[in-house]
This record gives sequence, C-alpha cells and structure tokens, in this order.
Amino acid sequence: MLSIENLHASVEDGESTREILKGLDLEIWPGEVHAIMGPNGAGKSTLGHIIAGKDGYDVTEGTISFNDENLLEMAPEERAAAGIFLAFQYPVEVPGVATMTFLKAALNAQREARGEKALSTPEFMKAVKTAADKLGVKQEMLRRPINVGFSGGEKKRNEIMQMALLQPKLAVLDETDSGLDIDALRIVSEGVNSLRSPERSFLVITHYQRLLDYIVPDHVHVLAGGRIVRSGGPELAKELEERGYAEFLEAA
Amino acid sequence: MSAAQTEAERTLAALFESRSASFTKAPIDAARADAFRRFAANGLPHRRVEAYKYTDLKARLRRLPEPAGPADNARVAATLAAHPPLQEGATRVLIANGRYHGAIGETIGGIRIASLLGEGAETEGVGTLVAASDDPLTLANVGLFEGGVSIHVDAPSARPLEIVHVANDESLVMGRIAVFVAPGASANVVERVIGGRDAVLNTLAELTIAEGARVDWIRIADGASEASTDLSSLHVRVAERGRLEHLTVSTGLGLARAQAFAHVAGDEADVNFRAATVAIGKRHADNTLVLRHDALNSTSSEVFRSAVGDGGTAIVQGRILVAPGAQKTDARMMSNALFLDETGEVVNKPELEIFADDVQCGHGATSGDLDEEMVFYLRARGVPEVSARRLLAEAFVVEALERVTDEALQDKLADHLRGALDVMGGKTWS
Repeated sequence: MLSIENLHASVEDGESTREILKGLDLEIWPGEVHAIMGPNGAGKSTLGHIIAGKDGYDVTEGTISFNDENLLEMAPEERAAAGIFLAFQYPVEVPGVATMTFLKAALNAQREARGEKALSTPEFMKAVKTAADKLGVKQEMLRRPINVGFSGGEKKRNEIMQMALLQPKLAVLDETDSGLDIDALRIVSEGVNSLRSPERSFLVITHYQRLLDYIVPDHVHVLAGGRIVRSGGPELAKELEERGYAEFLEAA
Repeated sequence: MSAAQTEAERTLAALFESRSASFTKAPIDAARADAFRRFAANGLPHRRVEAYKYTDLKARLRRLPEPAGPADNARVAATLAAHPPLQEGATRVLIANGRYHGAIGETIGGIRIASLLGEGAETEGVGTLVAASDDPLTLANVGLFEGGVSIHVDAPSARPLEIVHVANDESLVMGRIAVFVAPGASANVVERVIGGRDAVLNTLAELTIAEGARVDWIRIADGASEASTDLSSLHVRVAERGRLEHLTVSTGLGLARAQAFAHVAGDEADVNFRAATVAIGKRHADNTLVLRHDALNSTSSEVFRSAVGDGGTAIVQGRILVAPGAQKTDARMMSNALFLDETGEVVNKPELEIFADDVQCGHGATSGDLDEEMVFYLRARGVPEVSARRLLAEAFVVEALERVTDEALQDKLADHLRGALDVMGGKTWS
C-alpha cells in the first residue's frame, strides 16, 4: 500500500539546509498498523508531513509510492482523495469557516475527485452524525468555526471524527496522544480501533508507548537520526518505555 | 475658492447659486449658506489635507455630472421592485435623487417620517450634530442637499427600516437623513444605494441616540460602475447607556468613502463599528472613522476587514480620541487586510489620542496573505487549493459580520460578500 524507499528530506534552516530524513525505508501493507517511535527531533513529524504533502520540505532522494502511484508528484488534495489522511499533531484553527461547511466541502471534493456522486444534504448530515456521535463531538461544536475555542482534547477528537467521516485508506496519526487526558485517549483510541479493517492501514507516530496500549500495532519502528534504526513487534514499544531512546541517540 | 478651482468646484458653486435663490430666513437655510461658504473656502479636499491624503477628491472628481432633478416615479418603482428589502417586513424609506419619496408626515409602526425640505418639512434638531463639523463632504451636503428625511423613532423594537437612495445614472445627488431615536427606543436600519451608474452621491446622515436607546445601522456601499462615486458621512451622538452597532459593507466598483464621526457623549455608552470591504479591480474603498469618547465608563470597538486584489484599494483610517476626563474608557480598534494577489493596495492608518489617564485603549493592524497552515489543513482534507483559498478569503471578510444579530440578514450579507469575491482578475475562482 505505502512503500517508502531511501527517503532523504531536508528543510531550509536560515542560510543552510538541514537534512532531517536520511534514507528512510518503510513498507506498509493493507490492514496493518505501524507505529513509529523515536526521540524528539528524530524526524517523526516530518515523515507525516511529507506523506501528506506539506510544503517546506525538499525531498532530495528516494521515493514514496501509494497503491503504485508516485505520491510525491501529487498535490495534498489529490493525496487526500486517493485515501491519505493526516491527523495533525496541532490541528489548525480556522476562524470563520464552520466545521460543518468544511466537512461538506472536503467530503464532496474527495468524492468528486474519485468520480463519485456528491452526497445529498440528508446523506451528509447522517454521515457526520454517525462519526460525531462515535467520537463524542457535539453538534454545537460542528457549527463553530474549525477548532476555534476547542480544547486540546476536542481538537484531537475532531481530527479522528474527520477520519471516521472521510474513511481513508491510510491514516497517519501524528502524536495524536499529545495533550490528551486518559478519558480522551480512550475515546480517540476506540475511534481509531473501530476503523481498523483488512483494507485500512495506520501509521501511528508517537513519542510515548502509552497510546500503543490502546491502539495495538502490528509493527513498531524506531526512528532516530532520520532513519529507521530498529523494527519489531509491540514488545519493542514496551522495551523502549523501560530503557528510553538513549542507545539510539548514540547509534544515530 | 482658490484660484485653482476645478470644473467640479465650479459646478458646485453654480449649484449653490441656483439653490440659494430660494433660501428663506429659516435657520436651516442660514446654516446652508454658512456651510457652503465654509466648504467653498477650501474646495474639494485633496491629498495635502491629512484626512483625505489617500482619497484625493479634488483629483478624482475633476468634473461632476449634472445635478439630478426630481425622480421619475415609474422608474423608481421599477428599481425598487427589482431589489426587495434585505430584511423581512422592513419599512422602506425612499430617497430618490436626494428627495424624500413618500407621504408627507407619514407614521408607520411608531416611526414618524417627514421630509427635510418643502411642505410639511420637519427640521427641528436637524443640523445639531454637524454644526461644528469642518469635514468638507459634510459641509458640501449641508450647503447643497436637495432634500431628504427626518425620522423619529419613539418606541422599542420598531420594525426594521430600510433607507434606500435611488439615483439617476450619471447624476449628482446629495440626499440628507436625520434620525432621532428616543430614550429607551431602538431602531434597526439598513441604508443602501440602488442603481446610479456613474452617479456621484454625497449623502449625509445625522443619528441621535438618546439615553438607553439602541441602534443597529448597516450601510451598504455597492458601487454600480467604475465611474460611480458613493460618498457618505454619518454623524452620530450617543447619550448615556446608548448603544450603536454599526456595519459598513463595501463592494462593487468605483470610489467609495464611508465616513463616520461618532461622539460618545454619555456615560456607559457602547459603540461598535465593523466594516467588511472587498476591493477588487477598479475599486477604491475608503473607511474613515473619527470617534470621540467624552464620557465615563464608555466602550467602543472597531474591526475593519478588507480583502483587496486585481488592483483594488482599501483605505482604513481610524482615529480614536479620548477627551480629558473620559475615564474608564475602553476602546479597541483592529484593522486586518488580506491580499488576494500581488496587485492590491492597502493603507491602515490608526490613530489614538488619549487625554485621560485611566483608560484602556489599543489598536492593531495587519496586512498579509492567507495563512498557509490553514490552506494546507483544508487541502489535506481534500479541498482543492483554489477552493480552499476562496473559502478562507470569504471567511476572513465575513467575520466582520459577527455582530449582525438578524441571522437571515447576516446570511444575505455574507452571500453578497461571497458574490463580490467571485471574480478575481476577470476569472472566477473555481
């Protein structure tokens, strides 16, 4: 489904360029949940941003293909229509655009890009209500501008609610656990787990093992110094929780 | 008038000559002669007059169209029928070619409406708020106005009013309005110009808000053509515990200058100004506010939102003056401008003059492009880039409508602004 080979990426940092990803390889098959763990500054969020198509990164080497398409040549909205979803670490506040208006524009734009019919208003309302109820997102929040005045937990629930509505093929969760209390973590995790299916894959980016108690991954990778330095099963996350990232920082 | 009198200024002088022939000894006519004399002493304001630095009327109005005669009833009726009131059940007050069109001394739903000139005219209190003004547009109107209305609102929750200016194409029109809102009463006013391609309007409104009264006033400046000019001056006085919610919506083509001179005269008064401007193409939209706090514990806020593109210009001048003794004043002004492309022009000129020591005042101004983080967020959800930018531009301007309490009216104004954003550089967005 997603195949990343030898990915090198850098950012402009004032006068100089700084290489963040230094030859990253990752292969995700349909239905799999992969966790990427690693110390701060390892390039975890960069990886999520590059998959979603954010500007500001220069891919100098390597490829990313998604269902045999060259992802790096696609605009962010094309990636979304193809089934990529990024749950933002810091969901953006958009004053003046009602959440409902935004969801309708997003869903119907994706459907149009895929050659599907736009949903009628009743169909759309039903789909939103189903997703919102599952994540405990109140109707009143949907009328408010996107994320404006939402608490940290509400923003994260809103992200997963959007994922439930848009039904992506590959969801990248960028530190979705950060800023969540234990109850919100449980709601968000249940939301994610209920979307797990043999066709849908997840890339869960996290610093802490805690989230992986709720969303149990098939594979865990350690990202340090811009590369995957170790891969394993769920037990690897536990080991990291006990021993920390120190040895990988040295290795990198 | 100075030696460098322009053709436009000669037109105005000739107009005064002909109108003053029928002046009486009434105070309103004495005021007219005085006002025009003061206007003529300096002529049309130009860029060396600080308040008109960015809107040089002497240069922009080299010549003026012919003053309009009384309007044709059938044409006015057709124009009105084609543009229904924006608010359901609104009472329409029609000023056609500057003259009040309606029954003399009409009373509708507790609102008393009378002409300012001619038979049955009511002029008591008219001119009080402009007597000390030295604003040239105000003086020109006071000297030359061809008619208008006085409106007395004596009851709370009166029906909405829609004051409509209708002008002949290619004409010069100077209608005048005086509105008196009695203690505890409330008025809900939409003031708009319909039609008038290539017309030059210089309207004047005086608004007196008595103790505990509330007024919601929306001025729509939607320029009909590149050569249309919509100049308007609102002078408002707010008494104790009075409240004003003002909004200017500026769209379309041509030159528009919407001026507000607000005097917060009573303690605990609250005034709020909002402006939503879309200046695309041949549009010069000027919003100028002079606000004077003269009382205790009064509050004011101003939010100007301007979107410019395709060579359009938006000017925002906001001056807040806090008089000595106006303690506990809370005044906040913000002007935000959005560039839709690289060709628009924006001027933000905030000024604070504070002569009291126990006050909270602030102002801020921003101008820039859309926030790329927001654009990416929408695109990452599948919204195509053009639609995302369009959606964000709309949201930016429409936010200035936040204080419009009538939701149906708010929706209509939002649609109007979205429509104004439809065409950029001769192309629709999507």
